Amino acid sequence: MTRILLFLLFFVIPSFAFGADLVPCGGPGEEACQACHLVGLVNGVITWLIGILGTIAAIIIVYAGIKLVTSGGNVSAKTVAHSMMTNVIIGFVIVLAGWLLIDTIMKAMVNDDNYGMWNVVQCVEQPKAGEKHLVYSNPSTALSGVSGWGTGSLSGSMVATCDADGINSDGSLNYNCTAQVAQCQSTASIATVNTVAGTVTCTSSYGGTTDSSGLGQCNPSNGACSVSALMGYGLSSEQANIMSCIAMTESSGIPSTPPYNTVHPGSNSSACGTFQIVGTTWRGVATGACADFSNCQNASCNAQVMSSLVQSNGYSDWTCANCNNKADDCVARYGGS
Amino acid sequence: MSKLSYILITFILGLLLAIGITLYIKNKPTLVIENKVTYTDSSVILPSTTGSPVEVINFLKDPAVIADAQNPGLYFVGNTFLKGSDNSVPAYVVTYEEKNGYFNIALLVKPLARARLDAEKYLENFLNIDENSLCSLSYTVSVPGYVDEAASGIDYRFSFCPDNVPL
Repeated sequence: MTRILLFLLFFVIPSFAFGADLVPCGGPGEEACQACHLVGLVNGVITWLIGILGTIAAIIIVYAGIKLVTSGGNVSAKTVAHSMMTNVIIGFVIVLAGWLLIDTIMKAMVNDDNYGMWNVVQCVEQPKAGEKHLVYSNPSTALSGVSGWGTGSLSGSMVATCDADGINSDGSLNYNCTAQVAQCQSTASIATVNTVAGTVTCTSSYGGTTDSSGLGQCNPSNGACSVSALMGYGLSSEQANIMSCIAMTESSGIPSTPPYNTVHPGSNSSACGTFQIVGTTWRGVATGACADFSNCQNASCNAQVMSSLVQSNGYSDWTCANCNNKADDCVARYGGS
Repeated sequence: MSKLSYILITFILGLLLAIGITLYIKNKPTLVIENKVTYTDSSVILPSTTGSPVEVINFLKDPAVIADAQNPGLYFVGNTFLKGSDNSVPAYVVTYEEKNGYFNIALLVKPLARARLDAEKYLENFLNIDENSLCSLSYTVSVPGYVDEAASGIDYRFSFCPDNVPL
């Protein structure tokens, strides 16, 4: 009986076929192997063994059931079948409880609501020296002591790998860089996201440590025009990076900036608020509670109008001739991130 | 006692142990470092970029601090855009974000170097803190494009801080 069971286990049951996928890398069309894949391999073996155990348990339960039915008046055979069934069920419950136990303990230790199942391993591509996206030449040391940063530094820029949170339709990994961008911005630095490589390059935004244009962005604590705040108004990461820079050049990122001709009565410019939007433009775009131009100093209204303008006209309201000569530099510096 | 009873008791004890460990880990006091500002009646503890928070008097109660009517939580410290604290044309404007403890300083007149010196001197006296503490605050010193387009878009920092940009 045991021999038949072993034969079924290793040569017939479908679970064994999963073994062929245990090595998730290095094959044709697969990514190159890295250290993380070793963890993936061990994890795959564990998952495969649990699958095998489930099959064994099912077979033994069926076998014990048949034995129970065919035992007739034989008390000894009946007891053996009973204990066989009980032991299998207890054993399988212990296996599953062990899995649940580790999952619970891991979740408690990690203390992160976004933490998934403990046995889900996602390997992400590690940053390689010489990648083209590492374009900023000046170092930021602000993150040198922060976990996850600095291991992939090139020319002083700090690099971190984003979290993989799924697989795209083309088979590539989808990255979530929110945490890394927030960490970078918490040190008042500029985060440049490479969505293909899944990395964030963090460069100091302060003068003297930026690239030749010297252009910075609104401080991450500035609720009117920080990159994260602008993304809340429907801008993409790239748009938010560019507009945060433009806000710095326009108003120093101060939403309360009154219409220019209020402070300078001789002027005919009504440029107002964080993004220095003029009255005629405002009235053509603003709606609802923000419709009246008197709301131009309200950070939220100004950002909403700006967002509508960017979505419909790109950056032309700022890069136009005689508008803001530095807006083009902002697009060049923060575009393509 | 049967073998099954032993297994069940061991399993239950193991489960209780695991639940105990989990509860202990969950309730263990952990060090949480938050970059938040704290307000009391008499003081404000401002977040610092160097790690140690900076405690100052609760300047929001000072009559020189004016709430921005259009943006709740935003304050003008001293000057407004229209009027300097001494009724002169303002050389700079300092705004303060209550939520993040962030100071935004805009230099409004030339020479810009002079305006920066005035702004930093004012803040140093107003907050009654030394230069090192001032450097560690969350702040920006910049020039709006309508004042000087060529100088705009750069965080100049305070002149006495190590990361300052000459004006």
